Amino acid sequence: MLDGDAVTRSLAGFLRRQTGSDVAIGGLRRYTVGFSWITYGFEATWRDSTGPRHEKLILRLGPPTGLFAPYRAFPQFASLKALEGSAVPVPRVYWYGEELDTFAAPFFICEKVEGEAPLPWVSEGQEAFPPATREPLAEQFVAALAAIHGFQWRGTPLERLGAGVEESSAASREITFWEELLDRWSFRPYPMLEWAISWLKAHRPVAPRISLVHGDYRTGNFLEKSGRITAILDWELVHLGDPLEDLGWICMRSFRGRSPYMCHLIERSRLYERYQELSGIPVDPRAVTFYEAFGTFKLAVIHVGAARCFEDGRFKDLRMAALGVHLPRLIMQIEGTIEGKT
Amino acid sequence: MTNSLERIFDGIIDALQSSVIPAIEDESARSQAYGVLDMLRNLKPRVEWSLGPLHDDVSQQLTLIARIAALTERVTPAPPAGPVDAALPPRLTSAEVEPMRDRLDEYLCEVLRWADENRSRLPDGRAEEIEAAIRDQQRARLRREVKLTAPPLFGEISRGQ
Repeated sequence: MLDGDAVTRSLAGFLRRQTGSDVAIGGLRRYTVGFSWITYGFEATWRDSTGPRHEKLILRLGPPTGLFAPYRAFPQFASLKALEGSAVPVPRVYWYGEELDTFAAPFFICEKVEGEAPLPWVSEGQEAFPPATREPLAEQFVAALAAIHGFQWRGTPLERLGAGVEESSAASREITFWEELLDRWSFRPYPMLEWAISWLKAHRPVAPRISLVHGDYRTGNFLEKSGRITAILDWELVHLGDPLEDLGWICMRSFRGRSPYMCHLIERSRLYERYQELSGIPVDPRAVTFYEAFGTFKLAVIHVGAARCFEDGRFKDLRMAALGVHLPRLIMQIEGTIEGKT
Repeated sequence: MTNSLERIFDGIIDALQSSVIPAIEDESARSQAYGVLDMLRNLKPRVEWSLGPLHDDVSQQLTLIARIAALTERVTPAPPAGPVDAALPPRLTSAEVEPMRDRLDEYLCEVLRWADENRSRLPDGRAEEIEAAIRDQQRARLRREVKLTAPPLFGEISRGQ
């Protein structure tokens, strides 16, 4: 991968070609968040037909040695572009590229939205948000999800994110996708995951409709400022599928610990009720439980992938190995979810 | 643990050498970090995964496989052929027991796939009984692993503080 100076030079060259003006790059900073795409913040100054411009921007790179490599920037860019101006708060995207000649990696550039990303990982027994903050955030969190799922993707470039997926095949496609990744990444067999795959295949729900699915919708993947959600981030796993998949992901134990609040934001019954009111999509609790188990399986596969990536020496990031350490806990959570013990 | 011990040592040593130590500005803290590095390089050739739990795993797998054999005796279609490892040889190192554990786990995966595919052809409840036996053994192992695992530092890892 490129070092900081090389990223700055490549950014200046790329933006000069896009804007037709000399561009000054400053304040390049690599963020520690995320385990897959690499995120840089920077400031760019240039001149266009409206006069001098100064923008705070984000560059995201999908490294060729990363967890899900080879990456494509199109799904994230197209989703953010399509949702611009909708009820879903998203950063404005400017440019993207799949070719490797600019940054040696697929990339996109978007605005830097103000706010902090609260994390779901707090000490046991603690809550991530005080009640006065939690309730309004929960309402915005559910409303943005309903807006994502209500987005009319047909006839837009987003059709390419799930060609041919139907209500009856949405769950199967996801199981197959993640099962194949597990086969690719495992370096030892996991009988409990084998059993989980059989269970998932035998209990696939039929989707109430095909929606745009964020794929990693949770606390930690939105920005918040003064009690307002300013942006929904991390669209790396976006696809077309069953909207209840996102609901199951929100309910996972990994993002709430022992808190009664899903993603530390909202009680399960209230989440179902409010989501149904806002989206008009009926919530079948059995389908959500299915997707909670599936999501935990998916997260376990990601942990296996992280450990594999580290073992092969493709990614030297020690945090990948640290993820792998917690695989047993996740595998137990899959079984617990299936048995209704979470 | 998911990664190999050798790779974990190499990764920690590399992270200290290439990322952590160059960023430490305080001399005293940097000398401590070099002390850690020195210790790690000397520990690496002297340690291996604890043999006891691995030994227990394989013993329990072999007991389970004997039970599966009893449950699948004279059943058609026949279950996957049993594993070559029928007993745990004495005086093995962790590095030798680990692949044996994995071979036995692979066999258990094959049995699970076979039971699932032939559920309706097996005597009533037999597939479920086999699955339950395998899950019980695996759950006991996972519980032990979770007990040994320190609470995750995902927040600190994500924020870098």
